[in-house]
Amino acid sequence: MQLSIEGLSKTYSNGVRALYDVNLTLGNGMFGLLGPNGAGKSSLMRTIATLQEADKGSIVLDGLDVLHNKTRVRQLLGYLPQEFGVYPNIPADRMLDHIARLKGVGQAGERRDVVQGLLEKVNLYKDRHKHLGTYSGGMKQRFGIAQALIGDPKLIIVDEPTAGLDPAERNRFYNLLSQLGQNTIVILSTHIVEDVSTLCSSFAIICKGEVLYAGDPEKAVKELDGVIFSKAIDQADIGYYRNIYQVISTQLKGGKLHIRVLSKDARLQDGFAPAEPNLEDVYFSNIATRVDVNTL
Amino acid sequence: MFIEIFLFEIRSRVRRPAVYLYFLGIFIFTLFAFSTGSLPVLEKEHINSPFLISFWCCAMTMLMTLVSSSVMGTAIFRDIEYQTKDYYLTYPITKAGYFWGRFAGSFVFMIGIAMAIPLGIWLGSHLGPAIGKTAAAQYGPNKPIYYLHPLMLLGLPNILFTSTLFYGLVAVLRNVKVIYFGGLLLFLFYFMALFFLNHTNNATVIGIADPFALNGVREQTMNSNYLLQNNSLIAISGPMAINRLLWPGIGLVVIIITYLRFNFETFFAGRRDKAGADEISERSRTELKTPALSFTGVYNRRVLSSLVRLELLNIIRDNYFWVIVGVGSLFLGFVFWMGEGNEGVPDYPRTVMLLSIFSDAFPFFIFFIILFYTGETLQRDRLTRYAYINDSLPPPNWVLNGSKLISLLVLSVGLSFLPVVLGVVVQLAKGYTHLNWNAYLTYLFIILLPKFLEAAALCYVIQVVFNNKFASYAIAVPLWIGMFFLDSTGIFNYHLMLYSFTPNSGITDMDGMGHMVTPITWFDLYWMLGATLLIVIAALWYHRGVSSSLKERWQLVAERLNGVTKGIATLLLLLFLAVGGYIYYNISYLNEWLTKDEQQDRSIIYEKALKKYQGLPLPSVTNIVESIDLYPEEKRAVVDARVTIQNRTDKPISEMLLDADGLADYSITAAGQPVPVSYPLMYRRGKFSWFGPAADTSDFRLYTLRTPLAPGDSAVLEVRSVTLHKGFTNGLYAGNLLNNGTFFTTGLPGLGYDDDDEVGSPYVRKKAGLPPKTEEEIAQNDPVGINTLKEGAGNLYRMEVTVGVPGDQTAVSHGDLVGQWTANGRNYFHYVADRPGMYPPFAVAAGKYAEKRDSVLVDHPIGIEVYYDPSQAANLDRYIKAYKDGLTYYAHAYGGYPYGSIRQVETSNYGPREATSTAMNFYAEANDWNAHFSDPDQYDYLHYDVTRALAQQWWRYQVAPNETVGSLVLSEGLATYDALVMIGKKYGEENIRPILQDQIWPYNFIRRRLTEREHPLLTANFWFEWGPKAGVVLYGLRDLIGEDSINKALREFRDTYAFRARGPYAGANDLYDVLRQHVPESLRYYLDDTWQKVTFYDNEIIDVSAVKTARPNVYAVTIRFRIDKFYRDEKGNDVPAVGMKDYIEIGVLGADAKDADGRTVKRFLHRKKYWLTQGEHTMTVTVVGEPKAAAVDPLGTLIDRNGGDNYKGIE
Repeated sequence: MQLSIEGLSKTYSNGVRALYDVNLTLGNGMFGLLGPNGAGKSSLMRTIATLQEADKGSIVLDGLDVLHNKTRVRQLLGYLPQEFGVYPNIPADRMLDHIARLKGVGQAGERRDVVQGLLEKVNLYKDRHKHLGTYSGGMKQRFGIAQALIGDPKLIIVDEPTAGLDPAERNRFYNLLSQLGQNTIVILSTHIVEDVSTLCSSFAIICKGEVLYAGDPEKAVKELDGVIFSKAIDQADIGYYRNIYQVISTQLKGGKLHIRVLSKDARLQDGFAPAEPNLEDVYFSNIATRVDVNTL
Repeated sequence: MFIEIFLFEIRSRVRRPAVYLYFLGIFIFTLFAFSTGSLPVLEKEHINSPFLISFWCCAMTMLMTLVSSSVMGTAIFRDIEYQTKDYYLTYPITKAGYFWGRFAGSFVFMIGIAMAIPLGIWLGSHLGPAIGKTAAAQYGPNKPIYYLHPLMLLGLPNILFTSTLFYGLVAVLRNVKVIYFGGLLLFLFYFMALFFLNHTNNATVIGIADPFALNGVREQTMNSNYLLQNNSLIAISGPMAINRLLWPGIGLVVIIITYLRFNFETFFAGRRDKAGADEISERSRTELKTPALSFTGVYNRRVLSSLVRLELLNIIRDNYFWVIVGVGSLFLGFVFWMGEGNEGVPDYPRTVMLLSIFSDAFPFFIFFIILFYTGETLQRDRLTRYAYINDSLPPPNWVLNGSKLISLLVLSVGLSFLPVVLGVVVQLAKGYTHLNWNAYLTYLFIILLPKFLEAAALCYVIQVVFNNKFASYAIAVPLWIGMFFLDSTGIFNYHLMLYSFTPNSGITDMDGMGHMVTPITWFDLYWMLGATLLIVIAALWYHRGVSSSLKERWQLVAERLNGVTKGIATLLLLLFLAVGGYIYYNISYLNEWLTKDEQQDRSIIYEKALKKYQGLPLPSVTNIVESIDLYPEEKRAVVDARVTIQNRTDKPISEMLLDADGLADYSITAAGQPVPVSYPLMYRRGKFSWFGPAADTSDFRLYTLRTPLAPGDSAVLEVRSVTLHKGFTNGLYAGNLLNNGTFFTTGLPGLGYDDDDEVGSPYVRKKAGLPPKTEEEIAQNDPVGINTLKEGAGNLYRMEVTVGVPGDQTAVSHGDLVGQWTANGRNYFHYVADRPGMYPPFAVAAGKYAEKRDSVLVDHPIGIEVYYDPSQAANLDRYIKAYKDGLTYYAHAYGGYPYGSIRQVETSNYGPREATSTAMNFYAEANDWNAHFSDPDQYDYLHYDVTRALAQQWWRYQVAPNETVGSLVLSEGLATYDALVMIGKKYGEENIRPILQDQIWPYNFIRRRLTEREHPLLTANFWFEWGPKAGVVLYGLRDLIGEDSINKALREFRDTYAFRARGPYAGANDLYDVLRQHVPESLRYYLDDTWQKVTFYDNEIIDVSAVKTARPNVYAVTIRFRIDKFYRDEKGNDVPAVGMKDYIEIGVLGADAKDADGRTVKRFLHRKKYWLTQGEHTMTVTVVGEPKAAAVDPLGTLIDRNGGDNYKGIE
């Protein structure tokens, strides 16, 4: 499977530029989308998920024109929106059964198996007869995961799927995704940089609708080898360091401000110590070119 | 805190377009109504009269119920909807500040929106004259109080009521649905009040029960003249004052209780019955199996049906749906159960009656249900945000979109069965089994179902295109009401351009929907195609996924408009246009449709062009021999007549102006030679008749006789005419030529200029340059007046008619049936009215009648023939009995009845409801035939109706009244009198009081509100004078001078005036003169009081007591009473009748008894007339038997200002 996005652009009627000339190529496996709030992650995902039109550009899934063959795409799609609602007065299993039918699982027996299997996977089996309106935030999110996975989708798009999940559930979900990702394309958006580095075989950083970086997370980290330095400073001095260095992140710990800077100068003085680069550095260093990252 | 929240509310509302839309909508509607005068306003009433402003304030604020529901209902629901509830609670706000701040902030906007009403009226009163739509004289001064008073006492209290109600409901129920269902229920209750209005005379109940006071205002308007309406304010007193305190008061109580019970935690938190805590359960290690997926074959069909089921379940599972349908059904069932009736006697619950009740208001109600569920169904996914999931699922657009449409159509179909189901249930529950399935099914499939399906399609496309629930409601509701308004007021009712509208048609037992089925079906087809076109538009605009811009959606439309959709759309459009074209061909090419303005213009041209012929001497028709061939199935009638005319004027007659009066064509020859004709009036073609000639001949022709008819000469004209209907028209047509139920007149053109066809409105006349029209009373010595019949042109003539009808029909006409035969499968009936002739009107009725015959021997045997629809035979015996009673008595009292039979014929509801003519009476299907008598105490109003109609055989068709003022006292007054005499004989004279009081009620009611001087009986000029009052007064005279005397007088009167071939004809003064000769000197005061003066009594029993005497069962009853009499003088003042001494009856009554029929009857222990003077009297009478009450004028024959105090019970 291969999904290639070319020259995708979208401007909303209020003038906000959601996507600008996005070019990406995705293969099987998990693909992470990183970016600040309002970067265009959800717009991109919704466009791929056939819920939104693009102004320009194309999306092709294995030769299939996604923007103009929506029905065909939907037959391959599993989508978990960032926010979604449910019918409050319908039990979870009945609703999943309905969705399974819509997703082409025509046989009643198979549908039951699929629904039960997924309910077990997301740990809702016990509560399957309860009305969705009574579900807590985390349970609702897991219901959302279950519905996205019905019908063996070839293209899975999950928009901030782990919001509201406890750590155990989150791990379990990622494991599930990893299993599926072997022969499907999984697009995952998240704010948690660490998730991308542990899960994704490739990723992209987008900001203000543009793709700033796309590639392999390990490679991306490697590219920063030897150019990241850190130092603990007084809070009051941050202005000084900002003026001189490219400060990519700051963290207040024990009254001292630990800053990380990016420098081509391998032997940075001024009390800086070389630091092991991580994906967060990649993220911050990229988006700092577009927005003023001030984590203070 | 209050101020903060109040201001926040205002700031957030200011930015919402909805409030401006509401304001604009009301403003434009009001401006339109008041600048064009499209209001229920009579000639001298100002368009901006305080009464009409009040009416409009009530009506608009009633419609604003929908606005209050959306503005007030959302005021606090917003915090739930937008989930601000999750943190709002954490702020330091006070309950009072929050609750009242939100309320006040929104209510300010309601007041603001309501300001559109006075603003629109005020501007309309200036705009109307400025643009020439109305005349400045039609408006009165715009005094501020005329606006302030209605606004403060009617408009704003109404808004307060609905606002508090909706705000409170949402605060308690935390559900937004409740607001529009609340609105719908209010609407329902409102119609309940209207229903009661039509079924009760209890003005107090109606006045109080109407939350919007609209009925109270209507009541006051109806009972006041134009001066009052133009110059005074609606009186807020009595029931109106109670109403104004009650309903806003209820609103305030509701909101205060709501406030006291309002609780932040419960309001914001809602239910907390979440599923149990998360537990890690043993998880299965099983791999997920990969199911077989299939998107081909049965997939779409199965998914579609699954989705439809889901959507329907969503509707059916909704409690509100059942509440609204349940309450609606209960109400409908109740209304069906009550049904219709007269004089307290219910009618049988016939199917056609139930359907006509249903079609009053209920289709509107069901439209609202469809409207709301369209919004619910289409916006549910988006509002619950399930759409993010749903819209990315595989089913194609047409399946997702179609499933919603189909569900709504199914809902519409289901709802359209409501009247059928409830109707049948009510009928069976009442033990009525004559179910008219044909009527049910016709109504269902021709009227209701298409209407609802089209309504669903309209609501649907509006929801899809505008993609906002409330905005769509705000568009659909005015659209629907607006179309209804345009159609029902006739302002614009061209049905090709009013979505879902068709020609109107009633449904009758006799003819079902008859020939109207065809045009209505064509219109149905046309609008169903229109609906499918709307669905195509909806399909193009249907939108999946997140809300998006117009640009994107337009992009989608362009994309979806591919070959297939283009093909379908084009095909549908072509079909739509083709059917529309065919309808157009029928209604605007074969026939003509005119706007209201065009009709008015034609009346003006008519008067301008033809008025000069008004003075032409008219010939008298003395003999008609004609054949009428009726082809009801073809809506065709062919007439061939020989008409003998005579010149009874003193001038030669050379020209005759004739009016086709609905004939398609006719020709006139004299002695085989065509009479030369010219066309004095051409009409320009109608605005919508694009293809006809630019101008065409009108209905009017001017014939010039080859040799003028000299005074005294006669001539015979041969007239051939054809009545036919090419195609169908925009509305009901051929209502007189039904498949079953023809009501046909002579089929001859009308003679002479008719000033009834002139424009009446003085403003229009002035603008058109026509002289003002004055209606003058014709004096009783006016030589033309006494020589002209009240019926208008015409005189006693001999009539001979042969009527041909289809083989299964019977034709009924006047006089004697001298021949009857069958030829070529058709029935022929030959009637002759020559004993010695007949006065107009003439009519032929034909239909598939059953016949009931009987006869009574008077001086000769008289046949009684009732022609009726076989399904309506319930009261035949009552009819026959009434005819027998009446014929026997009248012939005995006044002299003979000339014909061999009297006929009563049932006619369709399109004809007259009740009519009499020579030897023949007509009753429409909806009138009388279906009364269901079950209790001996019920009033046999059929007996009254028949004997009254029958009396006109003497007092209209033997003695024909002339045209002078008061002459209707003969035909209407004597007939009423005779019917009262007959009912007195039937029920016993002692029991006549309630019946006389019923008669006099409208007189007493209306006379107080007259603007003109009231006339005495001699010159009676209102229906309540010449009919009911005359009847009661004559009954009183009979009571005074005795039956024999009055009968002798009337017989003499009849002998003098019966069957006059020419004038002078009888007037009220002639009757008076005859009566006077038979009234002894001592009682002439009564005659003078009633005929020469306007007189009323104010008698009263002050006190009454009874004491047992020494003799067993004998009582001494002491009655203290007052006698008072007044005259109304020329200036309208009441002048005491000084020195009166009248012969007045005093009565003592025992307990009521039952007569042989089980009917409750009065029992007099004492009844005697005394000569009484004005003032207080005390008398003691001894009676046998226990007295229960005493009465002055116990029969109620005197016109009393307040008859209620003439009776007093004995403790």
